[in-house]
Amino acid sequence: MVNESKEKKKVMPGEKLAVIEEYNKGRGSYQQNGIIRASEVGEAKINQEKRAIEVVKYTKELILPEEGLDVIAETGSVTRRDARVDIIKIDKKLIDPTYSGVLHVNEVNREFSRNLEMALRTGDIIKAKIINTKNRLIQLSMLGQEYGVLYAYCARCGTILQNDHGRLTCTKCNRVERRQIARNYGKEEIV
Amino acid sequence: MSKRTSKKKQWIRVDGRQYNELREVKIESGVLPNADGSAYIEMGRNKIICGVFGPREMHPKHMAKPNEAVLKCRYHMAPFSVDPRRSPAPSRRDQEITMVMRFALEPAVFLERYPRSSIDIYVEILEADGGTRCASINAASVALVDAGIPMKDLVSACAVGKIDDRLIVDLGDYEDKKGQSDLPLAYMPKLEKVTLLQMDGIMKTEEVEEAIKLAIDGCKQIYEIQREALKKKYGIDKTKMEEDTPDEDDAGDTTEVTEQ
Repeated sequence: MVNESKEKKKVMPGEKLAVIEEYNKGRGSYQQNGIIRASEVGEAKINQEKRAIEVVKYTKELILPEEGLDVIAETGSVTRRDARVDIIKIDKKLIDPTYSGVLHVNEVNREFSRNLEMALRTGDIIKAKIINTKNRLIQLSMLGQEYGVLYAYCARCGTILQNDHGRLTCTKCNRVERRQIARNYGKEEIV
Repeated sequence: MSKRTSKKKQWIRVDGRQYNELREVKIESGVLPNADGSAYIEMGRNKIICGVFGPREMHPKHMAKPNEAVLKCRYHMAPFSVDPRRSPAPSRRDQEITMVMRFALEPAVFLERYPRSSIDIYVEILEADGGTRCASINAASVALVDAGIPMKDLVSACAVGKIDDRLIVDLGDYEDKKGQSDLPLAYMPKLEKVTLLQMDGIMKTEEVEEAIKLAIDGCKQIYEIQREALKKKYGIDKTKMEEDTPDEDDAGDTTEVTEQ
């Protein structure tokens, strides 16, 4: 059991930290039969504010899709209504294999809300926000200035389009395309 | 075969061990840089490597469970792990051990925290010398912790067998094949829960009870080695570890003394 004197101690999964009458369970701990036990390898600490015991883990943090996190994804198939995307980066951390997500037309900026094909095309790298993880596909949103297409290919020649004052132009064939452009188009590092 | 030495009338096992003595166990965690978590175990002449991935998106998606993660295991023996060469194709035995490993590890993992995901455990037997299912469970539980997956407890496994009407702990290949019975057991030492109990051959009821006790003692010894492996990986000084269960350690010491 944790005394106030030894607030920090190294623990292994399953080790008894306290009984439920003493503290609440915090991150990295769980409660079973009235006993709080560690669930990680790490350092047990007492959170006086919450009266909880937490274990700060030494092992690597899991990268999980959670609501509100920013993601970077590669667009797969696009229809007028929705787009399937492969999430390649969650909260700036690369993941492999990818998670699959879906972007509905209601979740893009108003000017594109009649047809999603106007906002993004297959192969585009987009930045979006996770709005729901409770379904089979992770639901994403591109509402907001910071979200949108980060990199796009020219539909005619395949070179990466350049942002020329809000118009995406191809440097090779001078084609102009329309997307929902993210604020830092072409500037965000992907890998 | 086991023999009686005439002078001491003491019964010794084929490899010179005491009836309740484990083989030399060596565990190392974090051996595979490309896996999320990994472990390597040497248990006698068994050499087993284990990699853990996840939680990650389940593939194929229709196998995903909406309420919890799926623990996918793969137990595989390398063709060169036994003599004569073994076919690398998954056999009936491989399938069984895969299932048994899953059953042994599932109670220790918080699967309900990761719905629609899969946690993948790949176990490769590089060299086999009896008791690979227990050694695989030992390696896999260390690898799961190494992957940062929250665990209720480590899972330790140990087998007890019967040979010459005597119970012995941690069977080697020879004892496994020539013995009368074999009882592998997986155990969560801190929660004091058995997660796997199998048996083949014949044992009396009293013998089974005794065997379970012996197996649990063996599991506790292996648990300490698993802890050491994790402590070594994460640079935890032994002196800084809190003495969580001094009574357990003491009990282990006293039994050793009485044997001597």
